[in-house]
Amino acid sequence: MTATPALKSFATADGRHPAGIDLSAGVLGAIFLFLAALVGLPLLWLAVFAFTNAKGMPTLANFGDLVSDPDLLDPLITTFSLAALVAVFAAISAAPLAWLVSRTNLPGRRIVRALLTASFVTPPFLGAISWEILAAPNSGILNRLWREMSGGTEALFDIYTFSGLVFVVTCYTAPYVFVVLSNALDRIPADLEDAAGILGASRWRVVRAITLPLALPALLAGALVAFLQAMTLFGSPAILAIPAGFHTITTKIYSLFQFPPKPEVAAAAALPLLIVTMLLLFMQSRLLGRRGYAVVGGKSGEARLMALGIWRWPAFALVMMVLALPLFLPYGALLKAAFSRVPAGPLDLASLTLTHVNFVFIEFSQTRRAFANTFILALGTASAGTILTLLIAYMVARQGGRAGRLLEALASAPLAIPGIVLGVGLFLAYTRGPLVLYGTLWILFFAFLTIELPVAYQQMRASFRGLHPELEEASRVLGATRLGTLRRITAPLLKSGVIAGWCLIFIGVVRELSAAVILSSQNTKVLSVVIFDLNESGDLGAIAVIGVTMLLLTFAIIGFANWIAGVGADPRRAVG
Amino acid sequence: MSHLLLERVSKHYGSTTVLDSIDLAVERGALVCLLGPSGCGKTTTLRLIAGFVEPSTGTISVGGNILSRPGNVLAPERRGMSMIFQSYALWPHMTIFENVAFGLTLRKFDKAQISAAVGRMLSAVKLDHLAERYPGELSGGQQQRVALARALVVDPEILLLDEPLSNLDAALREEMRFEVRRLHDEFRYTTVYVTHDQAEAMTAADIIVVMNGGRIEQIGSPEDIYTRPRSGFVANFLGGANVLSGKALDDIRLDIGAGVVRCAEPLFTKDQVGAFSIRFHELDIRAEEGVNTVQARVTRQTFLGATRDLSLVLSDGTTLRASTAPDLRIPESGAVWVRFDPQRCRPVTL
Repeated sequence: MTATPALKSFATADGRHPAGIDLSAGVLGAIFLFLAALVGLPLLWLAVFAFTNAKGMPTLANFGDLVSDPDLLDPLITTFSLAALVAVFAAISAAPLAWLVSRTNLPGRRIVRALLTASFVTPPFLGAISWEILAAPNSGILNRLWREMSGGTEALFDIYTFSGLVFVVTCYTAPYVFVVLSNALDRIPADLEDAAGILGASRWRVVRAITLPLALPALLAGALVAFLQAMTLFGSPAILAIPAGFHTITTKIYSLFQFPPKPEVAAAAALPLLIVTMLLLFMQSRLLGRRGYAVVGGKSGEARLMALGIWRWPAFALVMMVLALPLFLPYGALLKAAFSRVPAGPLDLASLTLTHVNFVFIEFSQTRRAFANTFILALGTASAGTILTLLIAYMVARQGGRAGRLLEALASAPLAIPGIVLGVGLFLAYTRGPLVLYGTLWILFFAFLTIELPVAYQQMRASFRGLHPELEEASRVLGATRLGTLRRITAPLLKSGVIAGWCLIFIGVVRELSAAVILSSQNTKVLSVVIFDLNESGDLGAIAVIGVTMLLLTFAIIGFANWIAGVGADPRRAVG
Repeated sequence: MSHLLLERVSKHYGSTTVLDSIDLAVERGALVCLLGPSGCGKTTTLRLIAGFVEPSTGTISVGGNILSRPGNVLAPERRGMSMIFQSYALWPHMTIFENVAFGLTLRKFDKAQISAAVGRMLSAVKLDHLAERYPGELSGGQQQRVALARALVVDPEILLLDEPLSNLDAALREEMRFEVRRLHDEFRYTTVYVTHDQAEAMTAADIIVVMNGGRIEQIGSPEDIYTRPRSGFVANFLGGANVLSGKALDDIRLDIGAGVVRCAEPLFTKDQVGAFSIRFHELDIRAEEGVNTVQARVTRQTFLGATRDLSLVLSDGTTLRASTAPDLRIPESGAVWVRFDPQRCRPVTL
């Protein structure tokens, strides 16, 4: 009986089992109330305002304005045309890319995948500004080059047009389609293709008859995501459409907050956006949830990659040309603008300058405060959001039942709330009593926490799914306490998932503009809002400096977080 | 002349040898089972025949035409073969009819011919009433039969089956074993069937090829392999057997340490190490010493209903397993004599 010393705590002196205090019910209740307030309050105020007039009387007139006033109806039409076109173009451009990367022997497939994933980190508004630098009708770099080469005076591109907007939004939306589609293509069992091959189908026939039809539901789902992104985007339209003299629904909502503010009309305009978003998300979950078709399980060999033969390098060149549009050209333009006197001027040593760097970090008082605000908010939201979603995921995974499902629904609900709509709702909720938060960082904190909640929760849920309860039970049975198990078994296994979730929130906060632009005030400006303001005054050099710094800091933080994750990382992790 | 011929075929992945110079000849219309434990190279052999894998050495030919040799492999789609996958690999986005018709469409049959041929084949596998369903709506056994129909309808030169029954439950597996054999008797395609289940191989095959560690251990009819295993591995893998070894006293007697055993066939070489196998149920457990007996002690006995399973240990520590009549009485001490029937002691290589 040498093992007894470790086991003596199993029974108390009077022979009864020690009763652990069960905190989970209380914690569950508290989280539930917090989430309900976080998500529910803004939406409630949104609904109240949408159905009342300026005097606070119930009315439907706000919706009447929405369909009768061309100032409101036109943006609505523009928004849906933009979203539809972006969805189509994003699908058309992402599909061949995803197929080449997932299913062929394209050179540098891993790099292409990494680059496309990296373009997620690019805030869409920064992309739009970079394309201003490249393709503004007079000062755009590409137009200058064109005029020099052709000797004419005409501009080749004009980014301040509807088609220019469609192009830029497509650039930063297509990666979403790519990720959804390439994941689906990776999952198609090789057996299904081999079965067609052995029956006599040529490689191309296999692609057409088997691979593409199986990937079609994912392509549709990806196109829906693209539609949603384009519909709810604020930054790119605000930067490109307003100078061109037209509005999308998000920029219209923003302008309704300018003097004289009409919050009730803004609330009414936000509701259709909310409803369409919910509908599309429902359709998307149906498409992906069914996984299209039931694929029969079983061992399936490694996917046979299609040999491109002589087309290998032409295909690579094509992919690089496509990648130039969201990545190489804009980043090049941004770097050039940051360090040269005239963004569009010819590139030579004489034009190199540190004026913009000096302006941003020394002269311009707002920048340092915005940097501080952004990183306080990003660190705070990422940490609070990680803890919150970790708790929710733990409750849902280990508690389950109706309470779990309700909690899950609350944590996922913000997915259906476009940033600008949430901004309006939070503005309405916290500019009046009992809790006046407008003008403080707290209102931005709650906005970012709400916006990032679904993504972070999904990350945590995925981590918990990979962690079978039996791993914890095995530790408890051997005599470890609940906390000891958490520390020695659960935490190490969850570590990398938790860090990934933290990074996701961090990136999300840094690139958020649509809610921030409504909720920030003079002292609570964040970087995205400062960039937005500078764009209105045409200060592209300063924007470029801030943008580049922002990206560098983001990459540094992510690298640091991954370094922490990597220290003591266990190569046998796959067991979990 | 044999229809399918593999000559000195090897497959290496880096420094790992998966298949070590195997030779195999399959007659037209024969059903050959590749049988062996996982990792023995049987699936690699099948994928080599299908053309999904390139051989490192050797050639694979059908009807005298070389299809695979190192550096030159005819694409799978140009071999006129059919294959049934372990996962069935039914295309989930096509109906049962469309799945079965796919190969015929590729062969440019017209609509009427296709619909007639698919109808005939679906009724041969008793699925004609499910033609418009999708694979996801069918049970495992039905999916298996669709896979069979899809492979057979194109009238393949050679039919390949990769562990086709391993995803079915036990009862269905037994039924489908006979179904595979029945369809083979009906259509008589040259067939190569990969399995690790000896009962499956015994039911379905004309010829069994036992494989182990990338080599072929023995080729023969099911009866031949079971009754005359040439190696200890084959005896053990098919039906289970005790394999005993020792120094040969002459061409017929072996000193196994605990005693001397005489076999019927004079296949040993004097003063060299020899081995023989004897199946569990062929050991004769008795109370007294007799001709060709060795003393043993029973260490464990399990009553299994139809038989009684014994674990025995010989005086030199060798352990044996025996399967006896259920009513056998073992003395309290456990001391018994084991008689080796010389006719049942088959000399094997180790």
